[in-house]
Amino acid sequence: MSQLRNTSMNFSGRQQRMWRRNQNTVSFASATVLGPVTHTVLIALMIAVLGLIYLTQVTKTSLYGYKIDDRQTRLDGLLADKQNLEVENARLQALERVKNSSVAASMETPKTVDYATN
Amino acid sequence: MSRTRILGVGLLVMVAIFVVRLFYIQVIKHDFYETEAYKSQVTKFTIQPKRGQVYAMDGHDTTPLVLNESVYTVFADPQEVKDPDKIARTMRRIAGGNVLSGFEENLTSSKLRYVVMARQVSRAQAELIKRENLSGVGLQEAHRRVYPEGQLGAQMLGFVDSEGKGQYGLEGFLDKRLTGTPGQLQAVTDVRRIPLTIGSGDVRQAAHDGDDLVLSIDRNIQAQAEQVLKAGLDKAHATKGSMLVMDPQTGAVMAMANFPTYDPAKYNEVTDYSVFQNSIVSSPYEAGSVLKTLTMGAGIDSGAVSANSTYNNTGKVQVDDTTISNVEEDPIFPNTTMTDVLQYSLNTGRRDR
Repeated sequence: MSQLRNTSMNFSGRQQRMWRRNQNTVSFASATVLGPVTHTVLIALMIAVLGLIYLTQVTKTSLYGYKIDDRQTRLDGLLADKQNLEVENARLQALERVKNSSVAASMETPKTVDYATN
Repeated sequence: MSRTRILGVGLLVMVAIFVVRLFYIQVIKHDFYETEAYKSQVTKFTIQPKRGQVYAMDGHDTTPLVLNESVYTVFADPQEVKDPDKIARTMRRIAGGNVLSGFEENLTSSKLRYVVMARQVSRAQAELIKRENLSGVGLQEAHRRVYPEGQLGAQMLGFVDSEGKGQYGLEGFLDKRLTGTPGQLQAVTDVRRIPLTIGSGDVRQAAHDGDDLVLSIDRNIQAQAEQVLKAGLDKAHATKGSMLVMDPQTGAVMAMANFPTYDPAKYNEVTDYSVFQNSIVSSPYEAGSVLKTLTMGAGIDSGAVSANSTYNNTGKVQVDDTTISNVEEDPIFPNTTMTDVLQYSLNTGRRDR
């Protein structure tokens, strides 16, 4: 709760210098006065809030570790798939497999072989 | 002294004790507790390198002879397992041929923390197991050596044993090059051992994968050499033999065949360990008169002699203080041809020309 005070009765000498003629001046004086304990508690609360803000920022950076781990897991999985596909490809093109395939079975061995040389 | 004052002094003393203790822990013993905290938070990971792969030539292209394949070991932590019957059924359904016998009994053990249920499970099977979200079940990735051409060039290639070490052949001789260098990751981790991006003391050293090898061996020539060698041994009723094919212009080895042979992927089924040896390089062989064919070939190739070139064969020849004579009984006549030299294995023919 505030109350207006007649500054003409209560202003200080400094205010008197700044105060000009025909100028209304008022000063608000709160009825509620905070003592030293309240000040301490308020400061402690502000420090706690700052600390929480700091913690959230630090936690945010550590979350990147999970994203990196997730991406790395996916990359490893894709590389493993690629590797296994290469193995499967090699197996399908193996000489023994080709020789025993139905395509090779339908081929005939040539009776004579001539080589074209330069 | 009033009781209030006594209480106040008592509280002050207690607070002072707390302050002194906190000062001791946080300031004086700061380094010690920081080290202890670091030890429990930081985990060291070894990043395994990929083993190098081996390729041969197929004409002008390369074709793989030795590759790596991802396989998985499926394990369970009995303390975390909630439904052992479901786990057993799932494992038999998905990884049937790879499951170890008797693992179901260990799933209910109250003492064990690690039970291997299946080994060498393929990636596709591992993905199916992972999708089941079985509590207490984990997968451990490993790499297995794959030989798509089967027994082709087995002694030349060698194999990798269960500890990942190359044995015999190229795998053994170039094991260090093929293995590579492991990397290291040291970072603050969470309770699931996932590295977090905090902490300035992280150590990240990438692994150096092993070198891939491209051989001068031609796959087709190698296959044909092995076929011819086998046929030749059968014809001669021999039990063991080797064949080496080289490019005479460059000296490049194009085929290196040995018989009997084995499958490098099933090295553990071999009973006679001598079959692992590549006799061409590991068994000393005194060539003797066989070398005459090389000398004669070089002479003909260089134009020094021809098949019909002749010399005067006296049965022996003097070189400084050494007398070189023919070992076998030879027909001594003046116009001995180069063909005679090979036919009768005449040492004097080698010297004179």
